[in-house]
Amino acid sequence: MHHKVKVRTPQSAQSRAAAARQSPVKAGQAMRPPALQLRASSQAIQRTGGDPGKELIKALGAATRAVKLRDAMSGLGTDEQAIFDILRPLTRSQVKQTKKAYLSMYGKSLIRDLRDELTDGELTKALKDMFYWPYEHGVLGSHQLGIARQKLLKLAGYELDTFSTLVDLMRSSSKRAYLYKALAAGNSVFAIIVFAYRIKDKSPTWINNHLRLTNNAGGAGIKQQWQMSCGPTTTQAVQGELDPIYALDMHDKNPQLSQVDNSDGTKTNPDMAGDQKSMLESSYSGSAHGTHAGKAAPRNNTNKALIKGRWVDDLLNKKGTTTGVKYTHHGYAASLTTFTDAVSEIDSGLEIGLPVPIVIGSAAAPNAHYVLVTRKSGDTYTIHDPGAGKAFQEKRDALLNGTLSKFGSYNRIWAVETPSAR
Amino acid sequence: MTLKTCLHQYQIHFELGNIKVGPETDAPLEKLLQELDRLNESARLPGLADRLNANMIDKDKCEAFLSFFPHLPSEDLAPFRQTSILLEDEELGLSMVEPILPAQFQAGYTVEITGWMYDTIMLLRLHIARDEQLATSTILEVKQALAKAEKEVQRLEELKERIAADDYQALRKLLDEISFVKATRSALSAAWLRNAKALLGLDPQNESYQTELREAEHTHRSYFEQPSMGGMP
Repeated sequence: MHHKVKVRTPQSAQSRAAAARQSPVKAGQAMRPPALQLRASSQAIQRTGGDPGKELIKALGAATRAVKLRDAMSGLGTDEQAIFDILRPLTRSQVKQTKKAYLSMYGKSLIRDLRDELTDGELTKALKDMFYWPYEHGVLGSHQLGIARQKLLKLAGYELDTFSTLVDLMRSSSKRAYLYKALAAGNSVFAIIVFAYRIKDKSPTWINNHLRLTNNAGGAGIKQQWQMSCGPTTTQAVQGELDPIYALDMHDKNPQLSQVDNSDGTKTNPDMAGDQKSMLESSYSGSAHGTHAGKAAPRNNTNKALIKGRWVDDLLNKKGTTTGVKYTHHGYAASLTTFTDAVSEIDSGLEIGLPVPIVIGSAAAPNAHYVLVTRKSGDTYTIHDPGAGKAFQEKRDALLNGTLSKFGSYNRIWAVETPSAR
Repeated sequence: MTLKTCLHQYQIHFELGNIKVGPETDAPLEKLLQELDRLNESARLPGLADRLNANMIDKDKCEAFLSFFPHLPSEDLAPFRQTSILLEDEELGLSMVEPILPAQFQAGYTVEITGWMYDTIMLLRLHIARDEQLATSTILEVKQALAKAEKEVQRLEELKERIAADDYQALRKLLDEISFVKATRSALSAAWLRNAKALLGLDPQNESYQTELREAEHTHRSYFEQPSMGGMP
């Protein structure tokens, strides 16, 4: 992370104005541009056929804000408060017009100038006003939002401009949120450009069905293609929850990802099945158990010797350096006190917007099956079952009392892979 | 030739549960039997006799199989060079329910290669005399136990419907019981299947044995109990 070092001198408004006066070039620049901006606006009015009066007022407002922002960044020191005061009350469309006016008047990117003038902390604050952090949309939680902010600060100037343009291009807040999510997941701005153009004209239903691997239409989602590949499938589901570009790619390559051929794992979704198999049969290096590897077999196989499961905390952590998420394994004796601990671990992950893999089983079959808790609404938890390829809902009391009812004989939580910031 | 020298000479490995032993392993037989104890402990079901539990491996059979293995003719051992052999594969026939009397191992056996897993693990079928009388009596016993388990599942499922939704303690206890009875039912159906296969192997043209096997296969498939979706060690 880069840090800007600035020499601060106490400045009153008068001294700032005096400093600006001592800089005739900058003052001159500030005088000229509104005319340019007005000319551009009148052209826009002719093009769009809009109300000339309203358009003119908008253009004047944008030009005035651009001048004020430029002024706040001119001279000795920067008037951060003035910048925040200008940006904070703006609507999304006003921010867009101001950025455009600034570029037209000064031939420079407003965001890049802000980046040059502000410290990381101040820039974060300014960007928050400019980028409309999508808190309200359930697409990405506080953890990924924080990562997106950090990554935004690390972007090169041209990348920041590009990302800002892409954000402006999106017509819904959920689509904008998906761009931040893609950034938080460690994708390059180039990959996000391609992604943005794919999603920009899509319907909300398409967005819901293609940018995640769980809770698609009718609660459908990714399905395990092998008898014991619930862990690898859950790993894929987690990645899909964190990274919409990965989810879209999975849907592209596996258009029937909620389907399976029980007698041949490679038949319906060969790409996804191949990944599940290689993950399942890879050597385990996590903390849940000693060295082992799973064994893949068709789902209708009944020879227990030919199938083996695999813990996946190590697989979940493989992408951690790009997603900024760490998964910690917690195994339980599955008694009443541990159910409480397990639910508390689940809540801690969901609260920061991260999906939580859990292992359920019965008294007769402990550690039997990985499922993924994706969200919580009131006292109801949504849990994706990779075996069924769909989501189910369970009440908090069922989790706390070992009385889960939607997963065959599996009524208890035996382990939780708790997500946290890396 | 001892087991260790045989493994060394042919570079053979045996896999069981979570372990793999080979030429580099000290005391391979002891290690395998130790793992077998661990596996059997986790497969044991309350109320079901071990000899009817298809998920348990018979220590005596396993030991007898491994003891005789180094004495197989060298032309029989040659195909195993640089391979792994999976000991818990049900086709190998070392489970508790397989109708083989320990004394039959003393007469020796042959093995047939039935397939490969992941290009490295060899799957074998044991050719050794199966005991018809033992298979028949086991099937009879298994069917009686299955009928009892089936009744018990029905009783418990009906009871579940009558438990108040918020009586979590009673519900959890009942769910635990159901899980054990269903696991028992599944293990019994696997025992039926193994013995039905053994009978048909003794007399492939016997129509009643053919029917027996069809019924056993159907029942086992319908009762096959999870973990079939994960089963972490």
